[in-house]
Amino acid sequence: MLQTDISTHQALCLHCEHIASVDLKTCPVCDEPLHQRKVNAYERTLAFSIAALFFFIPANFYPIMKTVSFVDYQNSTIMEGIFYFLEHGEYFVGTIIFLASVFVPILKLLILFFLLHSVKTGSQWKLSEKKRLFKIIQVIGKWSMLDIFVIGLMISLVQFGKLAEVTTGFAALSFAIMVVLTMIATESFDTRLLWDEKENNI
Amino acid sequence: MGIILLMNETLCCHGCGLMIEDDASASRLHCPRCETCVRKKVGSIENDLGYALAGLILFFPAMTLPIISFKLADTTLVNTMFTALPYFYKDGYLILSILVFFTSVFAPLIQIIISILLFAPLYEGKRPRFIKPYFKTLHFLNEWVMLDVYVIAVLVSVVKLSDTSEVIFGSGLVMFILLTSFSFLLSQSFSPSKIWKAYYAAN
Repeated sequence: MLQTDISTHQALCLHCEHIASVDLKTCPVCDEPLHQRKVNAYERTLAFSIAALFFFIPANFYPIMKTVSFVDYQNSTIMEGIFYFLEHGEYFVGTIIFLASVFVPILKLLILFFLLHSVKTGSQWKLSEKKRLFKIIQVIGKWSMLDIFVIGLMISLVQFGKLAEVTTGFAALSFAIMVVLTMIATESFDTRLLWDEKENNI
Repeated sequence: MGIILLMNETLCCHGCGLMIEDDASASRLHCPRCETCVRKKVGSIENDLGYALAGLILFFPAMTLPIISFKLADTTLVNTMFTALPYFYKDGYLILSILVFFTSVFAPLIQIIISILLFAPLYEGKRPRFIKPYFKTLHFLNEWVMLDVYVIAVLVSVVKLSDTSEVIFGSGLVMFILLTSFSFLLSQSFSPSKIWKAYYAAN
């Protein structure tokens, strides 16, 4: 039988990668609190994911950027911004923005809910693939901030008084909060939970 | 005591909790059950110190020199890392300006400074005085340094503005891209076990 940290009564310190007995309260190497699994990983991930989901709605339906110029006044949501690029033939940038601000956030939340469901039911289906999915959302997490930085650059570069002006919309705030909440949710999750059910059954 | 403790014969996979026999001859080791990389080859403390010092030198020019400028009807607007922040604030989104400041200015600076404070004594074979708070901060910040995202944001903005009028690349852009590279290398070679091994080997 495979030996795990639970079956051998040991805990891995996530701060210094030292393995100590599970009976110790703090890590003998770095003095950080020692836990076999991240504390309340399931509940915390669920809570932050649901909170992020709430912010996803205003982030997509409110204007993210307002453009005022002497010819027109334009409120644009995230999707309108993407269509603007596609209409003007900028397929590369349009795709980047679409991936970073629509596709990736939805994908991240879906994967998180899928993993939580998998932990809850103790499903043993393709565990290492699920682990890989988690690794992917961990890496791409911060790339959703792209849109916020683009707005930052736009509002500081397009300030020509009555001629043209760009201001921030409410969606930018919702979007940024959503990204941060998803990142915290991802950090709170513990992939070891996926395997734990298996050991309890043996 | 610490040295003995850190010479683990077995490793524990942080992806699935499996106990794995350490194979010292392999430079990389993957978990047989979930394929998580449990030991990777990372650069030395010396490399890390080099990246951090290079980052420190580049930091101030990258932050203060203009990154891109935009020209429309005789007016030229210049963008540095700080220019967006007051506009976010003026539009009523204080949290956004704090968030952008934190991820693109504050986090990289603290990452670089703490790396120097941590790696300089270790490189000389001494123990840094406040290793625990340093280590904890560094561990936390690695996730929140978003300079690389900012580089792509600059690219997107250039495309967005270029059909309206002229976009001029500033001298800060090169500094900024270099700073981003060093900060990325610093995050990539971050290894808890390496730092703690060096700490316990020093006296």
